[in-house]
Amino acid sequence: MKDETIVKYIREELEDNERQEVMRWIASSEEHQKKYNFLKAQHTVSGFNRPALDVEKIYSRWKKHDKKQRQRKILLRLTSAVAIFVLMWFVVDMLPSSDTKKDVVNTKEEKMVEVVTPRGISREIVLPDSTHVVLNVDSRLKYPPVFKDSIREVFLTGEAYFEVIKDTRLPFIVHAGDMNIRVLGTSFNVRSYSGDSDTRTTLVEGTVEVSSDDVAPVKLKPLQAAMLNHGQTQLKIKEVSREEAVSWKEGKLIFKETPLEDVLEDLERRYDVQFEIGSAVLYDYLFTGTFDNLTIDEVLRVLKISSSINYKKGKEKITLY
Amino acid sequence: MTQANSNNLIYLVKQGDERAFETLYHLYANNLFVIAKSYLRDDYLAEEVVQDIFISLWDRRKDLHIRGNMGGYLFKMVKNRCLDILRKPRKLVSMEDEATLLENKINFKALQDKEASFLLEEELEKRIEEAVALLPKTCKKVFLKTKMDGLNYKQTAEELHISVKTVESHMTKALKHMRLHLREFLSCFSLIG
Repeated sequence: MKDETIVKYIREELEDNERQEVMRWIASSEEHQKKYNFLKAQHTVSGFNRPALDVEKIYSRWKKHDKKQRQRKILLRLTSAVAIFVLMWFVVDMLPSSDTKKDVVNTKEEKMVEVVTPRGISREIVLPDSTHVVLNVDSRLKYPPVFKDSIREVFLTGEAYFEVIKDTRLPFIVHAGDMNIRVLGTSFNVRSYSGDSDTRTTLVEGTVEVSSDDVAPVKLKPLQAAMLNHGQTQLKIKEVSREEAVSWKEGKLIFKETPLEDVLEDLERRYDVQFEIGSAVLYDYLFTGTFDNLTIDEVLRVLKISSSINYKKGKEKITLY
Repeated sequence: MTQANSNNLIYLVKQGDERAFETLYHLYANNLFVIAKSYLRDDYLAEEVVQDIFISLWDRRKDLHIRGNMGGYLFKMVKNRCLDILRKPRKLVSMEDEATLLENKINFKALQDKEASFLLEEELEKRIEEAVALLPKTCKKVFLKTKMDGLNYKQTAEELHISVKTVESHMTKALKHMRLHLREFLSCFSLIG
């Protein structure tokens, strides 16, 4: 094969069938591969110093990321400093009093640690009791720096997967939307984005008890999901597959007859992009499919092939039509 | 950039100097992106790789042990991330499946290639030197003094007998210039063939 054809392939100047032919040729022998390796590197180098990336934009994104992290650190330090100060003040001031400890604990409890994930970035957190939490994108988890004696209580907006360390003396409670989820030691997923129509708890292992102000506690079995619509007084329970339960943690997005708008909302969170629906019929579209660790480019391609939804990538927004 | 200079930048980054980090970012991000994009063939993924590298560089700045030059270090990070991505068989629910898998396979091999890596790494560092060399004269002096030799703005101003304000404006100019100037290489570097 001529070098010229290979270079054309590298520059993406070939039609699909020719492209495949070149690829097969390259893969067919070590010698061919070697030739390609060199030409590919040379072509890559020729692209150096040509502006291909909006450096300013992604640098400012890094700065935002760093700033948030630093603020969190400072907040944490400030919180502990305040806590220590308050503790000392109480110890000095109320030494003879017997309920000193309770006051201190109460004061400390008011200062919650808050972890926030931006769009596009999920995060693992270890709570003071060693409970493991994976916080999905665009979510917020609040918890006290120390769990007090009788209860472990956290507050969630967004979505998180919990692996709770077993401690029968200390029940673990997640507050999310209208839902309260009470557990002893188990793994489960909670989803409660403010844009969602319901709050949803999915149990993976063990047992949990779901309730709200208006709903009596219901025990879930593994691989059951409990859904509570805002303002409703009844829980809906349904069976789910293991894959469905915690798909996002493995980088998968699974949709079953989901309105396109909801799909796009999830995609916006995951990939930190903006969508625009450019044609009214798409509002009625229900999407079923799985995106398994795809990049946004691949997702768009899948949408195009499977649902004949076209897209246009603009600077700020991706328009579907 | 001489090795000593590049090491100064590393030293400053290790000290938590954000300006030094910004310089590194401006010097290398574009070309690292070019590499990642060329082998991954996906804009978003490539951007993510570059961003991840700089985030991890900054987060782990205190424990950095960099032998050799910065370009070599950053190149190796890009290379390893890309290889990780290409190695993972990603499920695609489309007809493009096989073609993509095959393409990933040949690009994986291409990026693993020792001589190809050597070429990429060498050129990466060389092109940075060239970009610095193309800066206007005073601008370059200021740039090298502050960024490479690790002087602060005041020291630089004293040494070059100019005001701190002038140093600042030169620095802004230099960074902007580095970016704009990259275009000039278009003409110096014709495509293969």
